[in-house]
Amino acid sequence: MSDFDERLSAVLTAEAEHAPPVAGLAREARRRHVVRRRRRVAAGTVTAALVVAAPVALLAVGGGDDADVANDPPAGAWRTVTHGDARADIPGDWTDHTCDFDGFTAEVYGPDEKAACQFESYLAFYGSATFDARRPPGIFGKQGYVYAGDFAVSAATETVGLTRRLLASARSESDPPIDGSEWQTVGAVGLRYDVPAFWGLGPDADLSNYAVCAVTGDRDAPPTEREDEPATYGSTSFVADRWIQVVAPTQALADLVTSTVRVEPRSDDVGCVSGSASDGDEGTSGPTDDWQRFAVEGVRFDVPDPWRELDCPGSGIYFGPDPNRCGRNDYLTFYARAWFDPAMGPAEIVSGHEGGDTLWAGYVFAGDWAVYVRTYDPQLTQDILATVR
Amino acid sequence: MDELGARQALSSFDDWVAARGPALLRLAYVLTGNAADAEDVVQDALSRALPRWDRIAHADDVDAYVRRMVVNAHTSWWRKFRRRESPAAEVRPDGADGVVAGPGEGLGSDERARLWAACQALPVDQRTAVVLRYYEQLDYDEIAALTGVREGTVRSRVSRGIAVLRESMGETGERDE
Repeated sequence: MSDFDERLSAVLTAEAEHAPPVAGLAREARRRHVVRRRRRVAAGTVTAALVVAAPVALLAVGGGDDADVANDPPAGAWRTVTHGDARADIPGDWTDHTCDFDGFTAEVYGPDEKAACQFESYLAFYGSATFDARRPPGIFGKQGYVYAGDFAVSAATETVGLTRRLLASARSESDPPIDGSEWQTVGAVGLRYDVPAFWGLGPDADLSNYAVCAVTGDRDAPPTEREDEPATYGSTSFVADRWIQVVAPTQALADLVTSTVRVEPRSDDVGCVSGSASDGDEGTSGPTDDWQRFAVEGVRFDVPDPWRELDCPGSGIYFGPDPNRCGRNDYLTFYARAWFDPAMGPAEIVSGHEGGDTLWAGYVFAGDWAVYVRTYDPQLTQDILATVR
Repeated sequence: MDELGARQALSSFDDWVAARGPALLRLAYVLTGNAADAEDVVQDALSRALPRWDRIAHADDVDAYVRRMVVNAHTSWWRKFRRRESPAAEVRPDGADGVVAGPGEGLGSDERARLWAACQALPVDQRTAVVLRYYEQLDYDEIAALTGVREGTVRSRVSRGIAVLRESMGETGERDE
């Protein structure tokens, strides 16, 4: 500790002695709890009355005493649910379910009670004070959590895309809504990361305040946190050998984008990517004009431009970006459907590790074949699989 | 739980509050800067802990668990009132009113008052990180786990907060940590 640090510690310790006395603290806490419980019971009574009087009305209770009524959405559309000062968007056919966990109940949103209460496909608000986070916020496989307002928002579904869209929508009441339905993988300044098109704000939004930066520096000397404007949120993390800073329109988006950042091997680039990732300068994944279409064994599919059919004698059909790799790293291949025995369901994207790297794999059936794809980017895997016909 | 069990749980809660309440109030006071808000924050956190005390009491570190509730209650309380605080470019002298000299530490009352006021003028996220680091003496990874942000973000907040405090005290130069 420096002399200044020690003086600061001494001042804080001395000032702490002015704290109020503890007398009556437990009694007052108990009184507040009783008041809160009564309010919750009253809210539950109102809920029952609404259900009887207007069956089509949906009540987004979300648990706790700060529940609000959400709009009745059109069929198939998404709707916004609120909990205290937190917001999130969910599919219109999802409803809220009261799940009982050994006497502890929680309100969880999902397509049905089983999926919600078994956390197979769900979104839930947790008081952030009591949320036990075992890893930093973000998306991990097909589940994840983020913070919004006073709450942690946790979600999981059967697809990465849906989970990511749910989590990206989490925000506080003063934040803008985020459209997380379209994501792109950006490759720039030695990084690859996933971000919603136009940061989820639409093509007309001013995106100049939002950025992803790579900064060199020692792990013990973090750069100044970038929160340039009152309406931005920042996240700073140390990835590989450099600091990564993300400034986003919501805390959830800052954390989601941060959780996707990978440092390109052998790259020592630094710098910032500001604004929209969809203006073509940063390079995007997802099917574009740069992708090539192939047809093999009656199956059509698209792959990014660097990908080609690989010459892999005796190893079957392989497409990949590196002609020297057959059946390793990232590739697309064909398995005979009759003999294919996968450990996951069709179109499900799962992660695995190879040589210290994380690869994302999935497959779809097409005719007599299972088309199997694995890449370093879950979105790219998903995008390639989506082109298979 | 039977009636006896319920009484035992409540007694356990009261005992814990009696033993650890003063430390929570001191932490809340350093975070909020005044006694009324400190009481409000701690009472709010404890009232939310009470209905799940059976579970909390079995946590590996009850103190850390409830301390996190207090810190989050503080930031929630701050957000609720939508206070827009800016980094303290300078410390207003009137912010030091009412601060009196405390236990020695070799600091003059004026310097201590200015440093305390500067700390209170920090944005809430920076102030929380600085308090947990220099009052609670937590490591960066512990602060990250407690506040639900990345360790890098904690380091950045502490670094930036300390830089602002140094500047407000008229001190510049490299940290010698």
